[in-house]
Amino acid sequence: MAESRTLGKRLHRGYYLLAVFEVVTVAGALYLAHQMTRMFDESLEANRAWQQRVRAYAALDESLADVRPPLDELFVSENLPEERRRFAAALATFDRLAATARQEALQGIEGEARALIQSDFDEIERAKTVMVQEAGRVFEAFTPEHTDRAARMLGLAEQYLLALRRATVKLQDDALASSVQTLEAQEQAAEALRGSETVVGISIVVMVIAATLYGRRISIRMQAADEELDRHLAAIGENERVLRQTEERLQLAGRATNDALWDWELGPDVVWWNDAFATLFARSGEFPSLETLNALIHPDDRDRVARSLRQFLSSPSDVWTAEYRIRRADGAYAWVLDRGYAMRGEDGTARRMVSSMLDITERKEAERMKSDFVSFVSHQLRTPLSGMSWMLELAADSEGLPVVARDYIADARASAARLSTLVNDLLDIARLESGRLVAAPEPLSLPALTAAVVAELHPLASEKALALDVSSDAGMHRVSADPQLMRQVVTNLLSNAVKYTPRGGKIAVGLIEHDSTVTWSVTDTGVGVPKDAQPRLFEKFYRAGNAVAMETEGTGLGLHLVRLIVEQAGGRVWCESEEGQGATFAFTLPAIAIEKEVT
Amino acid sequence: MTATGRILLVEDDKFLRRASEASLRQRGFDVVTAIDGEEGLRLAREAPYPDVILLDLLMPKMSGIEVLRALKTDEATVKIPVVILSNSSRAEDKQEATMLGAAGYYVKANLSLKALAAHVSALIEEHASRG
Repeated sequence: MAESRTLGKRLHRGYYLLAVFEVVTVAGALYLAHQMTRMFDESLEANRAWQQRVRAYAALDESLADVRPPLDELFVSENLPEERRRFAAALATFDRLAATARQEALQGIEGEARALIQSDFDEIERAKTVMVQEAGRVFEAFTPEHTDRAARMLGLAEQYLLALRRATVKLQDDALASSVQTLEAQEQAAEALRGSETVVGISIVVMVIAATLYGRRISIRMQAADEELDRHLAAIGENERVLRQTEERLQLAGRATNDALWDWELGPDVVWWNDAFATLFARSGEFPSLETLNALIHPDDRDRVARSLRQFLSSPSDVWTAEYRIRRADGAYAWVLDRGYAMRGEDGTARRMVSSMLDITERKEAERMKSDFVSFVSHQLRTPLSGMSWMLELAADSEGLPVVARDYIADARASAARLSTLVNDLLDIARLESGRLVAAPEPLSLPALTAAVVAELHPLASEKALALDVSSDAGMHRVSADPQLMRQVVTNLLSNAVKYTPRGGKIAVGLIEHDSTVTWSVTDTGVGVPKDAQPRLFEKFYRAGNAVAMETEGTGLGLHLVRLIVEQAGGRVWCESEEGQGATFAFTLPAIAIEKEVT
Repeated sequence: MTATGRILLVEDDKFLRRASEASLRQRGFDVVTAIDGEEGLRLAREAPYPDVILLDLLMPKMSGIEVLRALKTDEATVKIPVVILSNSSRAEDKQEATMLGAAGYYVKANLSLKALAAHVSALIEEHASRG
């Protein structure tokens, strides 16, 4: 790419150089043509002037022919006045012609020729003056009676007239020679111009060749550029095709799985959703935006989803899931499992979030039916169970029973109590899972609740010689939660610690408040939780292998119930442990502000 | 300690009726029993009026909620404390009963006879002190 750009620059420079060369050559050619035309005009003008001049000088010479006859004929006619007049007239004509010619020569001739011609005119003037003096003497000497003296004088006058004629002939000769000289000078100049003409001609040829070669080079280069462009266009086309295919694939995947997809760019707050989403949830004319997306969520779920999303975005995790109800295009609500993935910047800030929604309405319906069934069964179980418990209680209170029977009755009561707890847990889970256990949140002091549960479990802990300590930081540790359910959470976690910590161990409960979040934790020195079991620990009916080995009575419901309750209250529960080195179970809940407590 | 007071026990389950009746009698209460809602309502309206009514919810002929509503809209019975003894722990049931004026709501499977007797005694005492 960089190489072609340099080449392009070089081509550009070459183009401009060629253009300058062309301009100079053309200007030279034009100048040359102009000069030649001017020279030709000047040459024509000069020739014409010399021709006229030569003719004028010939006429001057011819006019001398009228000067001699009056002198000769005087001796024949002997009419002195008449001949004198004729001589004067002929001389006047000569003088006029000579003056005119001289004036013209003074103005029209330049350089050396002018001086020569002027000197010729001077000579003519001198010869004429001498001739006129001698002719005058002839006329004065003439008398019809004595012609001899005048005849002798006439011979001299004729001599001077001949001299005058020689002068005029010399003028003509000089004029001819000068005109030839002028032509020669012009020829030399033309010859010089012819040299420039050759230079211009060669320049033009060079120019044409250069332009042709250069043009060829440019056309080759252009062809290469065209080919490159074609390749780029083809590549772009291919990219577009791949992009289209990818999008199609995305749409198809969405369609095939019936998953609605949404894509949220957090910075500009731009939301995109796929066709499946638009078909399932959006009403016609509804454009994707965070507001429309939020408005579609069932009012009872909206706050919970928003809270969960906020918490997720401010956490470092990548994956988010939530189950909630969302309004379908037909107005009915559908249950969806929304699974989102956040792309984060280097600083951990979420930049973009892509999520797919799976319609789980049918599954939810099945769950509801299942939970109805569990409710029904549990309820039906409770009636005979309470009959059994009450009868056993009556029996235990009876007097005069054998000791063995009393023992049996006590065992039967304990079994009935366990069964009762199991049924209660099952019922709670079924209801929490179906979302039908309506928690009644109220301001609650976690330290007070913890103290009450610790007191309750104290006899059990003492029996195993366990040290049970509670410590807390300066926070208020007040949360908004259902007291019955929260008591169950704390009881389950603490009784687990008691159950799975060997004799003489330690159990430490801690309460920390930070960033409007209360973290409650219990750390024990018990058997711990194997790494592979940790992620599954809060699943329903799951029990870690080492827990089963130690305590056969667990149902695998307790921790699941803990998770359901904590998550419903807007918190999170987790476990940290090294097998054999104890375990920490912790949960968080949003702390409530002081003003909330006052109201 | 011997308690006094007249208790109307409305319970369709034979064993529960028998156990609770026996337990309460042992503790000195005067117990009248009914096997469904209709009988319960009829007995509640007969003098001598009971001091406390123990009422099941899920019963044939007339449900506990219907009985409760009838009792609370009847001048003669409106003041008698009614304790709901159900095996439903549904929040809606508890809410409805409380709204209709039930004095207590207990899940039988989670309640001992001893605790039941204690609740009944407390109610009778409270009622007596109020006059």
